[in-house]
Amino acid sequence: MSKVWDWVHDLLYALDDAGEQAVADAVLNIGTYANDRDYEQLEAVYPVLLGYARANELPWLEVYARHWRLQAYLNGGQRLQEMLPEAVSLIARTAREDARDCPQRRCAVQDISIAYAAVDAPGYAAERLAAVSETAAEIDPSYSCSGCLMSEAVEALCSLNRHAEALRLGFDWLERARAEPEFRYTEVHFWSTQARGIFDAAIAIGDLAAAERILTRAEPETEEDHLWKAMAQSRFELARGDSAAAAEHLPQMMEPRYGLLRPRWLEVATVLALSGAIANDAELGAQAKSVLETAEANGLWRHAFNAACNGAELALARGRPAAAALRLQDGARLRAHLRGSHGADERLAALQTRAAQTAPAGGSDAEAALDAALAAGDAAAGAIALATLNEARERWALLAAPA
Amino acid sequence: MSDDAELNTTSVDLGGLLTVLGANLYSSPEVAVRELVQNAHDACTRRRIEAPGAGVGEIVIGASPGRIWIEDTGAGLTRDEIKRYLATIGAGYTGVLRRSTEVSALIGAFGLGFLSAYMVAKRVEVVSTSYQSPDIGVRFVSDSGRTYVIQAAPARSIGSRIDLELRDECAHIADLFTLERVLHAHCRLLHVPIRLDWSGRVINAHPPPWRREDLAGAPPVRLRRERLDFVAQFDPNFAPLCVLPIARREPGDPGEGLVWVHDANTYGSTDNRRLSVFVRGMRVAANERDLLPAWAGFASGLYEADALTPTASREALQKDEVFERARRQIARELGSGLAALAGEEPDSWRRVLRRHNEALLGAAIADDALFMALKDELTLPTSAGDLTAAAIAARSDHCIHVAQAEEAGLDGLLARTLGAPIVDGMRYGAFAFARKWAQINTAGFVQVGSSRGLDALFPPAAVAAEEMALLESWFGANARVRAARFAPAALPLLVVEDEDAALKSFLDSDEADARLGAGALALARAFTTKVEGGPTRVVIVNLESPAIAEALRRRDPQVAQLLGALIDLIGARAAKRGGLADALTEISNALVAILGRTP
Repeated sequence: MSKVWDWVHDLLYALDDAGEQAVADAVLNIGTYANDRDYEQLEAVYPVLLGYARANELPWLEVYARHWRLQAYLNGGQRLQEMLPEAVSLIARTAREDARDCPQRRCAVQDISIAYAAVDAPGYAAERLAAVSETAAEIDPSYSCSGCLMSEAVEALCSLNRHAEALRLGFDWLERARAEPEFRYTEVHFWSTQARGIFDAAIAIGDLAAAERILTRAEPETEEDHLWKAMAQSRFELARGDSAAAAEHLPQMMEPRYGLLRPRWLEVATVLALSGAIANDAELGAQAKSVLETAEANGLWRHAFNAACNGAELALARGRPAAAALRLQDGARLRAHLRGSHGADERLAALQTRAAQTAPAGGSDAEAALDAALAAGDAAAGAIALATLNEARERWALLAAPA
Repeated sequence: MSDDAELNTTSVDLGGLLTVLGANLYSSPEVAVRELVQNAHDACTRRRIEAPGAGVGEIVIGASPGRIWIEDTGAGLTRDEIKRYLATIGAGYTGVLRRSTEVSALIGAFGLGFLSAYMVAKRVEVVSTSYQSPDIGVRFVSDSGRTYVIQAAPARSIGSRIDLELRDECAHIADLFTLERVLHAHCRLLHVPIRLDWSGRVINAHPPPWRREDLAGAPPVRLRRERLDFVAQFDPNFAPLCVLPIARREPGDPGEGLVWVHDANTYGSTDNRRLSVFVRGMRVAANERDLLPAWAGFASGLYEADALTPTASREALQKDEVFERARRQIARELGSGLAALAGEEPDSWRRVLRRHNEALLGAAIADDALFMALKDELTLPTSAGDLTAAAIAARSDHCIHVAQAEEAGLDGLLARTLGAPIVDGMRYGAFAFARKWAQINTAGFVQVGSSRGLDALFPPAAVAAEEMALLESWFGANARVRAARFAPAALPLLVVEDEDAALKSFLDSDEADARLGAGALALARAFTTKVEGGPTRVVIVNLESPAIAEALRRRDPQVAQLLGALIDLIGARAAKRGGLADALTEISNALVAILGRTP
């Protein structure tokens, strides 16, 4: 499976011979930085590689460097406004005469597919499936990029709600890959990363045995892997109907650098909050807003839209129609960025109807003020409302305490 | 259960198991020394727990050709304990004691340490007297671990002594230099004194600075000297530029230690990170570089944290939540330590900057506190030499120009003409550092040679519609025309590439059709359908130019044509486009037309 990377090893030897140790280190490390979402180190070494590649007319190295940089940002759900054009530009670069035989040209197809999935997965699902399928058809599982393309195809099928097909495709590929002796070198990567879409498909159609098989075999390496596995465990418990166990496994909401995990976290948290397994409070509403804002800032339009709807749903369940209305305004604004409805219009309309019919819940004025402040993102007003609420709680605790 | 069912005990081929464990559990035979010293250390700790008043204890190590021995004044073993713990693999007493007492100084956990003796020895002999029966001695002898003999022996002072008759292939361990090196590397932070029999030297006589109560409140100069001395002893072959403490400052910080900056020149992506990690005083990892931040290629360190979990071989660490906390603590301490160095040790700081400027550019973009400390100290490589970002901005009207290609185009040429230093964005960390500096200091940031840079360098200027129409008729045959005002006025116009339009043009071409699959092309075109099509070149006309003003006043297309051709000729991209001959022809035609005109 190393045939895709053989030229990189040759390049490393050549760089070493030429005394270009700094460039060789950059070649060696850029993939690690990308996988670790170490954006700072990535941005430090990327120009070294790009500059060297262009100055020395090494088009394959240029494709290699740009691909890894894209992987970091796309898989982390970051800066899609900038990275989508870059993914388009890279695929065009691979079509130029001097790069047409570069083994990483298939990686560029994977990159553009991930980019569109991040922007609007269902909106571009058909095109994504076509792109990765035609590229996958050029190669067999002895190429390491075959697994990446398979995982993209599986995710595209999930976006099209063809989950059974996705599951079949994933496990069929696994069977074929196992026949390749060198699969043992990438099997850990398969279970830990490439099988995530297969897990989604298994959960969607209730094939818990398949989901558990993936969960058991996944061996997290990076922090992101750990977070994904914790969330997968939570979703698995939810699918089994054990909300309490699901709540126990759900990690804390992750930092913004894990841009694609946060919307998934909110999906699970919303289900758990609506079932009463975790608290549906103003703080959760504020987290929904935070997920929405980071997704929007990074150009993850479908995720941002869904986060707005989740925030509205949570607010309605708390009996806070005013807070829900703010999220629905966000949803209506974000809808304009989506490519096709794919259920978005129906969801938005249903929530708007419910919001119009929902009367504000009881509770103290301070609670309502806190909810409103957090929903509007007014930190100062939120802090005042929280202080007022805590004071009120202390007063009640004193009054309720036995003499 | 059916009638023919029978209950059996699984058989174990002890010899085979020993071979497999011995060959696979530990990386090298030298590790056996560490394991046996650790057993001795745990015996001393056990005696302190179970027989208070016995003192700290002592471990003495000796060697002669083909043999080594380790003697301790620990708790000793009874005949029964030898059977239960020494002769049963995986059933060490230390793990039991640690779980029942929660004493953190105990090291063993798995009951596997003694197994390592058989890895290196063809004959193992232990003589011991337990504190529980000080008048009774016991002797244990085993060849290769498969069988053993226990017999009574004369009582000795309380404690144990293990003698190893080394296998021929492991005889080098008895070399005094090798043995001292191994002990020094692994056992330097153990609490019980470890004395070398042949020299009398106690290898752990000097505890690490973070354990020394006498240094609490010591003056900074003394602290610095103690840390430097300790590091020098820890690795006598290495002279650090400076040593920084890793202190417990926040709840949840797992450990303490030291980190030092190498006295060696590096380039940005050099990765010489090394970190020795100690758990309960025993070194369990010689090079756990992942605990140091990726940007710290210029640093080494040692770190002690009892909460870290070693693997069964105790040669690596489990990558668990404590490991993550340790990683964050070390990154924070290194960042803040470097940031503080400038004020506290100006001489060391200058040397660090001189040696590691490029690597620190990368470090600063990863650590905000460090960036603030370094932002006006580090230099960036520019077309005018190495300059600080502040110096660059001062020479470029509070703006930083960065080029990410050797060929930065005409706009790069322009910036040079104006005397603005251009940062070499292809060097490690330079681009990201310059961008961060510009953001924090609200300075301009221009990527010369890119479409994005064009907007910053040449914002569109207002121009009368009639004049714009003239300019478009002169220059807009195969290009978009933009009117702008910029210095120097002597430069009448620039020709640059519009990247998005070029991308669209290529993706719409037959070449792209032939080389990209239909699906991939459809995805790519989903983006370029939103891009305005048309010419891929942009002509930026300088309204400040007297030549342009004159051409507009005279409405003279020949003058304009001449200007355009000249610019194309001197433009760095002209040759690449094969336009040199075309440009010369146009100049010639324009001159002929101008000269041939009636005045």
